[in-house]
Amino acid sequence: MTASKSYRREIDACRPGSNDLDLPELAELARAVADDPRVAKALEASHASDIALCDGLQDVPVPSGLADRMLAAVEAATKAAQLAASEADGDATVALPPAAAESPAAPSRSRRAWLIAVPALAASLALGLAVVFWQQSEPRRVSQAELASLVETWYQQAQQRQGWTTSIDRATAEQFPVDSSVLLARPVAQRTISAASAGEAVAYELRRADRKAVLLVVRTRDHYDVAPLPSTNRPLGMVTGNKKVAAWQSGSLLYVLVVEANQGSLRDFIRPRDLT
Amino acid sequence: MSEIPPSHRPAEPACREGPARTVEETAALLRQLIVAHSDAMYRYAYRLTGQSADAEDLTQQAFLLAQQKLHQLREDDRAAAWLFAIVRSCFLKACRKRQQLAPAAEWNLDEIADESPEIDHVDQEKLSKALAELPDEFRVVVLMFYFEDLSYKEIAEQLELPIGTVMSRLSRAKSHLRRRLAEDTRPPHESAVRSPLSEHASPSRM
Repeated sequence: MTASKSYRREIDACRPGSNDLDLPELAELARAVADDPRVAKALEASHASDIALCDGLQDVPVPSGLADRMLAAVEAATKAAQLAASEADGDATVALPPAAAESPAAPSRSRRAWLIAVPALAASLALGLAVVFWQQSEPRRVSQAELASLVETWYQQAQQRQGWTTSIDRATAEQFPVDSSVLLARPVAQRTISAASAGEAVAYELRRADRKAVLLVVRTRDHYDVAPLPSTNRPLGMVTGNKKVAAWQSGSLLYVLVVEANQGSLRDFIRPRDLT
Repeated sequence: MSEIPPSHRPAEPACREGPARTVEETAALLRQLIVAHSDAMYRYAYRLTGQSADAEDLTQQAFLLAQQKLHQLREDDRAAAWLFAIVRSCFLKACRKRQQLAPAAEWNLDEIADESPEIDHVDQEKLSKALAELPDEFRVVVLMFYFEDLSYKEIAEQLELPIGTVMSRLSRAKSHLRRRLAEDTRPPHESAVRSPLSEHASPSRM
């Protein structure tokens, strides 16, 4: 295919579901896509391959207990750093000549030892209790199927007219931030929703020209089986109706973008992340 | 050939000083990051290294580095991108340290650009093998594209490479993967044809 051959490099540089065709290096490709059906078809085929490849690359079995081992490693590193710091602190305080340190009449060293040991013991105990407490209230892992079911419930609440307000209050915006480098539209209205045990949640209405979407933001301790970055390539399945849903989790915030088919598409609202 | 520059620093996306956090807040945030992102980081590390043991080491290394640099994380929303950058940086550092960056000549793009087999099914074994055949510079670029969802322009900025170099590497790497994955649908004599990249094959091991 001659048309696609000459644009192969540009086609491969263009991410599916992105606005990459707006980038200056791809301007010529953008024109060719508009003018030449063969180029448009080559781009479409490339994007289909990208989606398949992206899914294939993500399909990596994760060893069981990985997160626990990572937690243990950082806990150990923290303890080692604390120990090194306290030892350095102790050495600086002692600074006694060896003879004095070995002398039986050195009660100050004993006091120092207790002064160091007691807080260290208390800190260790507190850390131990904290670890036990944390382990007891370990976050759940939530599957995509379970999330799809939750989304139905949350979205139903969001569709009720009452409770919406067109002013976005600062506290809500801070607690449930919307990353403008991820989304192309800003919230124009908000309402709280009940997410029960999942955590605190808010729904935002997003508008872009005549297109409309609902963004659900849930502050949660649970770990949802979704990507850390939004993507239009892998919409959440198992949702009913004519809506497209993209979900991603960034730290303690779960984001669910819902777009009704007659009100736009996911790519109207999601854009490539600008990391610079 | 332009190599990945030693000046490339980890965690560029959110590298400025973040909000002051107490020790407890820092510990809690780190735990959250591990619970939320360890799987994704492991997957990325696995695709970079090709080995599960190396991937776990790399993931752990990245979280330990993240622990040290956590004060730089300004926005929790950017945590995933920040962690991806740390994983990548740790991988590149290990490559440089062990001088395992394979020499990767800039082949003429026309050699491989005239076909683009479509992929409807991804055979994991073939995918792993095809990735391992890629020189490190190519593998990093294509994984940044697919895993970090970065544009060619952002990849160029992150790796401090010219845009043209990134576009070339991306196209070749993708072409190589597509070709390898499509091989089972071809006649045996065609499948045996070596990729232009294969002669430089040198999968990195941590």
